[in-house]
Amino acid sequence: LIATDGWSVAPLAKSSEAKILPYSPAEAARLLFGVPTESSMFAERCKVIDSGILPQFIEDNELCYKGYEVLDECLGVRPSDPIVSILIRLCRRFDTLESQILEFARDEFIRRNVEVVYVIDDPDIIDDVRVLARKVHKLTNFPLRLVWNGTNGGFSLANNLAAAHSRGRLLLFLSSEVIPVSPSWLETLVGTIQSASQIGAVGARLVLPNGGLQHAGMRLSYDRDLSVWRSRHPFKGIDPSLLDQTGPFGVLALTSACILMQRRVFESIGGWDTGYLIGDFADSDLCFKLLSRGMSCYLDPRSTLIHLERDSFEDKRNKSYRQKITVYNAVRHQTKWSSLIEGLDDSSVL
Amino acid sequence: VEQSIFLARHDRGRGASGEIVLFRADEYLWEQSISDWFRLVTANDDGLLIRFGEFLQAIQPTVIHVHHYLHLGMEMMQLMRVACPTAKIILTLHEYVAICFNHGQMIKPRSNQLCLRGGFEECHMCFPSYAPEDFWLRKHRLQSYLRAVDQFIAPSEFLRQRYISWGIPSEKITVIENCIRRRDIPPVRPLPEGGRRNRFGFFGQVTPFKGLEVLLGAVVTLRREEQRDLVIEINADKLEDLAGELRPRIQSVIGSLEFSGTVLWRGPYEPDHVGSRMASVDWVVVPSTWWENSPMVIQEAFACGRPVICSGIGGMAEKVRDGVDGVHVEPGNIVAWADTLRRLSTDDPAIWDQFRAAIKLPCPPTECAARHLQIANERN
Repeated sequence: LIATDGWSVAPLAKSSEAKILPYSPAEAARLLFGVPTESSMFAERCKVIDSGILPQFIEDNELCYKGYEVLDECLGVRPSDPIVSILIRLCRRFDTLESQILEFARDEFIRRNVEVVYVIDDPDIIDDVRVLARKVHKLTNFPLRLVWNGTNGGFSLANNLAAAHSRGRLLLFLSSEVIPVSPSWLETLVGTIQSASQIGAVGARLVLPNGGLQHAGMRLSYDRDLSVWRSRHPFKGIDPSLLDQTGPFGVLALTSACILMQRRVFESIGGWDTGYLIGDFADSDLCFKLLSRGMSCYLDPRSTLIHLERDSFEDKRNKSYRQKITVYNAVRHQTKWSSLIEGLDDSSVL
Repeated sequence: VEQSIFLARHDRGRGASGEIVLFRADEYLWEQSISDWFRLVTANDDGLLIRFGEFLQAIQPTVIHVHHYLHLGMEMMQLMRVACPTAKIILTLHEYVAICFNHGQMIKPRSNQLCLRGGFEECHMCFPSYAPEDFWLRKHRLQSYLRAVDQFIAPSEFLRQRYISWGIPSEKITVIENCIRRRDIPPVRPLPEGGRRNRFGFFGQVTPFKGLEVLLGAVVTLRREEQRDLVIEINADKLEDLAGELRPRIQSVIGSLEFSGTVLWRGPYEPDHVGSRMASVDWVVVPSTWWENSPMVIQEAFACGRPVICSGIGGMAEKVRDGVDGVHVEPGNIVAWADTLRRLSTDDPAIWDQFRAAIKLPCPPTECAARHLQIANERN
């Protein structure tokens, strides 16, 4: 890489040999992000350089993903006209499936009115998930459906696929790391979303296994070190009983780990944005789409689920790569929603 | 009871085939096992879902009394609920396996410290290769399956309280003491002129948690003439059959004690011979370094009219009244055990007579059965 003013030439960076970026967006990003830049300048670099390169890879990947044949397996008879479809994406880990189904099976509302669809977004676990799902189905008689296309599409593609292969009037996107611990939580969320038409999405309060808060709505905060706006979970780790949260309240954004919305609304806003790497920021993006259409997000603390949140801490080896992905996504997010972010009041900013 | 059918887990050395086979009239064997001991997952799915499912379908039980899920897996509780929706499901709890991954002992690995109350962070400290979240998931899985159980039976109040604080609703656990066979009370050991009540019997398996090392360690600290004043009779597996590191450790202390006649290793015994083995001792010792639940040996000792010296914790402390029908000693404390042995082996025999007179005989089998039947017949 050189710089020239037409007369003199200054070398900026050297690489040993020219490389062709791999086809997969995540792998292309890994190679591209390997070209060093000071961390305080990386956001600027993403805006000028990487944002001109990676979207093409992401688009091609999406086209390719949509071309694969979708396979499914139905276990038991699902309700014919479900009120809600619970959509859960599985990747790498699926040890929570059993606990989730056992909870769904003892929830009268879910048994009567809900279909459950697991989208297996990891070719390595398809067979094992099917074996486990059949076993749990036989143990509980609880109907469920498995959907896969033999590839790994990432958060947004897989969840859009799951939505397209479900029938509920409402869609609940639920992380495989989130587990209910008592019945009727979903009925509560359904009641809330149906209570006012301007409610675009409702989320449950999520707590960590020891009882500390994990999520009760997200705010944005400006990261001066990285020069980007990032989403934050206020009061994370604190005993939620200390926070005066009794009934539903409006929040800037909800986590993708648990978000309920009307199918027609979801479809009208084009579903999950597939332009982010790996899936970071897709949740905030979705909520901003609702906000820009005059709808808002609500958090209902009367419905409280456990979030194990093991995924967030697993990429320690790749910390610098993960951080660069976050910056790339954050740059895309704040560019796309710049006017909305500028207009945010103090209650939405940390 | 119109009919009762018995199903026992079995290992024929050919792995968990999942097969259920008729052993003899009304008794079946199930070749089943566990594939994941952390989460207690049944090894053979077909054996569970098909074979066990058919077994239930064929016998159509009205009451299912489960005595353990160890070696079988926890999922069968839920299968029973689905296959026999109206049956009463009863589970007897025997130790703390669902609560504690350390073989259900509720003591900490490596340090062998007693654990008062498990927790996701604490359990992770005991087993660092499992994250706190893994322990949460383990508990959630086990509790979800145990929800299928209508009534739990705990052989001790101590164990009952441990399961209540773990999350089983208190009204769902009843205490019924383990049932032991009615037997003749062996005669009191005849004392020679000026003799003392100085013969102590250890009964049962020798594992690191049973505290035999503590007992022998206490004897070693006694002076030579004090050692000559007492006899410890060990009724357990042959010394050479002990597994692991325990054998050399016990062998190293026992050599001279056995030579001088202070320790008598009497070897294994059949249940029928408990009475005759107890006949030759005055006291029964239970020096366990874990909580125990309701050790059968305590009931056997009381059925034989022998006061019990035990670690003053958990199920042992509950069953033995300190200073009434036995003596409590601080668990694992060699000095305390030595003091107790020295004192009891030199006391006036009349004191032993008072202990013996205070012993209450264990509940007879008919009464125990009646209490079980009462629970079985209560409507869900």
